[in-house]
Amino acid sequence: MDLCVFGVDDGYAEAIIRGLRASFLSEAQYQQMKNCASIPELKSFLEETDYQNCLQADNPQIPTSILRQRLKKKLADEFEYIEAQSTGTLTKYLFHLRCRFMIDNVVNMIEGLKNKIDIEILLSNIDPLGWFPEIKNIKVLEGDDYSSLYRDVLIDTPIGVYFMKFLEESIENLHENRTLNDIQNLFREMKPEYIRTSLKKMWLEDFYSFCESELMATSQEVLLELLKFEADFKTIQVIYNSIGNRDLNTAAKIITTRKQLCPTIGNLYPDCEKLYLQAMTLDTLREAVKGCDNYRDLLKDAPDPLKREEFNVQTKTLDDIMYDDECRRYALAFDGQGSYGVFYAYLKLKEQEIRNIIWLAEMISRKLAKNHPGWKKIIIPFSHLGK
Amino acid sequence: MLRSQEMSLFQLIMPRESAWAVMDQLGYMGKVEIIDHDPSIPLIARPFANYIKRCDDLLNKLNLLIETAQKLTILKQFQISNKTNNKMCPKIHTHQYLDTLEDQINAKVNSFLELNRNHEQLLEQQGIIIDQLDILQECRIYLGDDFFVSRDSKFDYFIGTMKQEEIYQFQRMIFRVTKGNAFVHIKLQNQKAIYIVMYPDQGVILKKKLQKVQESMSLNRFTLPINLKEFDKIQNDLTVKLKEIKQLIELTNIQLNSFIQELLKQTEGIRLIDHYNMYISKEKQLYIQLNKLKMQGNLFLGELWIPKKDSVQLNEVLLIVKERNRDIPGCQISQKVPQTIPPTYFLLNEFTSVFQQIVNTYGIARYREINPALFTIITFPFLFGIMFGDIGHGFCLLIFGIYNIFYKLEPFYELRYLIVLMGFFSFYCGWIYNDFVSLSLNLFGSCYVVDGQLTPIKPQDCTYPFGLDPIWGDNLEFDDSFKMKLSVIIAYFHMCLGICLSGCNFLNKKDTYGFCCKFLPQILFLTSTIGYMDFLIIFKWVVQFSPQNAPSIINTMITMVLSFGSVEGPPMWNVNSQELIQSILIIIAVVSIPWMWFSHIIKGYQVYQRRSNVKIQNSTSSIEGSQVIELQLQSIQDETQQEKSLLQTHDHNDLSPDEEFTELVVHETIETIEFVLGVISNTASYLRLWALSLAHSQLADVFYSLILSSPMTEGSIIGALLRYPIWALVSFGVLMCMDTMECFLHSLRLHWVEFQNKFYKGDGVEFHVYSL
Repeated sequence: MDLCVFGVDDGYAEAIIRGLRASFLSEAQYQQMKNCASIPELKSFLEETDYQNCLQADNPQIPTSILRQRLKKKLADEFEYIEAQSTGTLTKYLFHLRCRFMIDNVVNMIEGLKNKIDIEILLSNIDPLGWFPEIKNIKVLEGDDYSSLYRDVLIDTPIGVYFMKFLEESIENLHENRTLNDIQNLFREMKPEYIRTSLKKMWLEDFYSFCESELMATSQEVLLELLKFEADFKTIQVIYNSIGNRDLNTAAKIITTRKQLCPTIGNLYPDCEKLYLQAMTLDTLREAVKGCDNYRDLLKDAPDPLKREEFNVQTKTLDDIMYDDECRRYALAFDGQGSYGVFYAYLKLKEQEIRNIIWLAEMISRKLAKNHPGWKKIIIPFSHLGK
Repeated sequence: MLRSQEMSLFQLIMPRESAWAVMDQLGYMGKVEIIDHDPSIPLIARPFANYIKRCDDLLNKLNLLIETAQKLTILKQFQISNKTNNKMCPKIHTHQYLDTLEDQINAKVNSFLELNRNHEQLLEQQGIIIDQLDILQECRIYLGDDFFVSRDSKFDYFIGTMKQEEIYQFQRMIFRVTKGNAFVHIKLQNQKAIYIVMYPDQGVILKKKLQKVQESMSLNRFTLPINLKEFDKIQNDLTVKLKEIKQLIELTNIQLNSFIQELLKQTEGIRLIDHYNMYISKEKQLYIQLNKLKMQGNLFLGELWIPKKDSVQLNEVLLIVKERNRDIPGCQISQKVPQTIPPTYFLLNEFTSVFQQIVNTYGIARYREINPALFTIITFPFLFGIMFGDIGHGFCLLIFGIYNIFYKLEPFYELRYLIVLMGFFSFYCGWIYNDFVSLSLNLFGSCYVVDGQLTPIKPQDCTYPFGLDPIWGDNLEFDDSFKMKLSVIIAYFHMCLGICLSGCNFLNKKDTYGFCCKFLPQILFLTSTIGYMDFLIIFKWVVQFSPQNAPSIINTMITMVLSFGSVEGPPMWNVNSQELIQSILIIIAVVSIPWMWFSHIIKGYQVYQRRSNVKIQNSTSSIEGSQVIELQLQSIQDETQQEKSLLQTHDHNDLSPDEEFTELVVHETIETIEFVLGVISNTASYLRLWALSLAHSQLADVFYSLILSSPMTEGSIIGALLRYPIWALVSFGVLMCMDTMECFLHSLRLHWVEFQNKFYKGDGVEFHVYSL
């Protein structure tokens, strides 16, 4: 039924997205990019593609950070256009998508301010997709006083809700007779990375429930599936990264931290929760997630986190493996009809494309040999479909 | 126009030094197409990529210059004039001119942008000063003079300006940070907001925090003077400064203006900026063409197509280049035998181009194939006219087209001649149908006399001079039968023309076999079926039958096919001779089917057999026999070359002979089935002429009788006047707009499908002329 009426409100936005499908770089184009000898050459190549307009005004010897900013700006512009064309549920949905980037921006700002980086540099480095007007006010942050940051600035922002929940949860976790000092200590020790993961977990859960309650059946089917996998990936990543982590020295601490960071949705939750919370080596983690065939295959190739020091550019890390698998899923979701999955997939795939270009730009600027394994490390969107 | 221009292929070899000059002249000649030696090479990898980029950059810079000038409102309604006046460029014969131009433009653009930047900075400074003055005034009004006299209050202040859209955010932030203990005064002014924040002086932390808020949100921040004396002093200073800045702004404005005027100065009738633009666009085009050439060391190798009759000119042009540049080595040119099919090139004028476009939309004609556009010029508007036939509507269309020729009416300007012809033919057909917006005109006096009898009487010797007798005006049945038969007759002649053109194509290729085995059976089949039916129709029109004895054409045709030429019911003429003729026609039709079906298959089979024989012989041949076989092979290869050209229609040259042969069989079978069924279905398709013209006249009739006829018969003038605009609007919308569109599309279909499938291959490559 919802396929019949999908086009009434969302047909135009979907059509635009479908049109933008043509803007993805093809495998042949990636091949040509790999053959570029220098950054100016790469830039002039990109000017022949869909990225033409966003690069024209720049100096040929463009730094990678600016290049990334330009590419992201283009994506953000496209997304903004689509957002402006959307109505009703789709607008809300697209806004939810942007929240993820806002969280990243806020945490990056906090991290930067903590490291005493100039606010102008930080502002110029924010992801245009997650821009919101209040972001420059984060400057008010004094020391580690997250609660006042929340009260003064973030309360107005779209992601204030998540921040509030995060603060509440972290305070609740302290022992019964807590003092003000305890709370301040807690926040002082808190790492931005931890904040990011917690906020993203909340966002993911919130987004999941939004999709579950407000979207039409076809969109639900596609999106919930994707989000479940994303949640599972997050869980696996959290467990994986906490194995052998030196900051978490006691087993109890590891488990509580994991419990806080792992999303409470997905295929692994709650069936395998007990198992994975207690997994202390890669093998036990593999054992814990074996319920899903797919994950066991994924982890089969993952390097052992206990030998983290031995990793180098050539190692195919867990992240790479997961990006690869995600990319396949998103490409499939993109080709589905009449669902909101397209927008999500488009964003993800374009992000992957930008990641690829930046990676190649890095490789080129470092003048690595053409037989270096790093050249193979890009994941081309839609390349999985042909196979 | 009937066939595309004969093309010849030339090879161009030139040293690097003269490449520019040669290409320059070739571009001005505007008769050649440079062949891209390898289209798969990306632009970056080509030798002149950086030149093209330079040209692009320069064009962008010029655009930037114009845009900024337009923003500053120095330049109004500026448009870069197109290549209307290209006389100046040919005089410049060095490619170094680009370098000088580049320097010039860069210098100009940079100094202009520098000026502009100054201008902007000054404006900004001016803005700040104005803000400051405003804020001082506002403070004085709001806080009162007393405030400046004694400043020992327990409050602290900060003041500044910010964007208007951030007011609420700002207020909220202040409220939160101070927990409500602050007072914010805001005044809107000049698209900005002035704020004055008062807060209790409670310590450093709060102050620092507020400062940060202020920093992050405000555009400018100011401090308040301590006492009134200072207040006045500052105010005075600022006013003086403002005056200075205003003068400076004036000055830069004048500079900017004179700068632009310089660009617009005319030399030899061309504005400087247009000259820049034209030259650079031309240069870019030239380098794009140069990029198509192959570079071998210091030499450029290139191939180019040129119409055969212009090839003499090519040599002349190259001679000119040589004379002009004696100091550099010249180029060589030699004719080559083309390996690929030459491009299709028609010489067109403004009249024929629109018809060529109709054909090209379907497909570009194959090289030297008959061009249907020539016939389309008349047949297309004519078929349209048959469908649209109406004196009134056709006349409107005709007038509209003629108006378009003299006064440009943009979206239709290109179609003007098409519209004129369409209007003319519908006007003409309207006279034939005697249909003026659904009414019959009785101009020459009807031949029938209505004497209160049931059937009007017609005197023997009277014929209505032109078109249908008005007595038939609203007789639908008569119209019906007349238009239906007419469309079948037209179907036959139109398709016949198509088949004859295919015959001409065979003759042109000197393919007598194809002529005998394709054209002949096809035209015989068509004539013996549809042609015979048309003959019967005309025969029945001419000969008078009494109503009981009138033979039915449909029945005649059906029994002719079903029972082998026999006649049932009343005969057309003599039963015996009609049966004889009909059975002969049936035999012809039946024979022609296998004739066109198997002839090419048999020939293809022979070729196939010979080739496989050669293979066997080849593998078993001993050394001494090899020479003989080689000779044999050669002769056979020559023959197969011919066969190849025959098989080329399928474009499967890389297939093995086995596959090629099956391809041929399938192709021929499909083509034959298509043709035989097509004769019936295409004829039926032409009945759309009948249907649409009937629809047109009926619609006109309906509108007329529903809206206009009742007040006209009642004689109420007011009613007629009131209803007339409605009728006119409906007629315009439905008949003049929608029906024109519809008839156009159906006419298009009849040409593309029913007419062109008889002969038109349409798989040619267009000739893209290189012209500067």
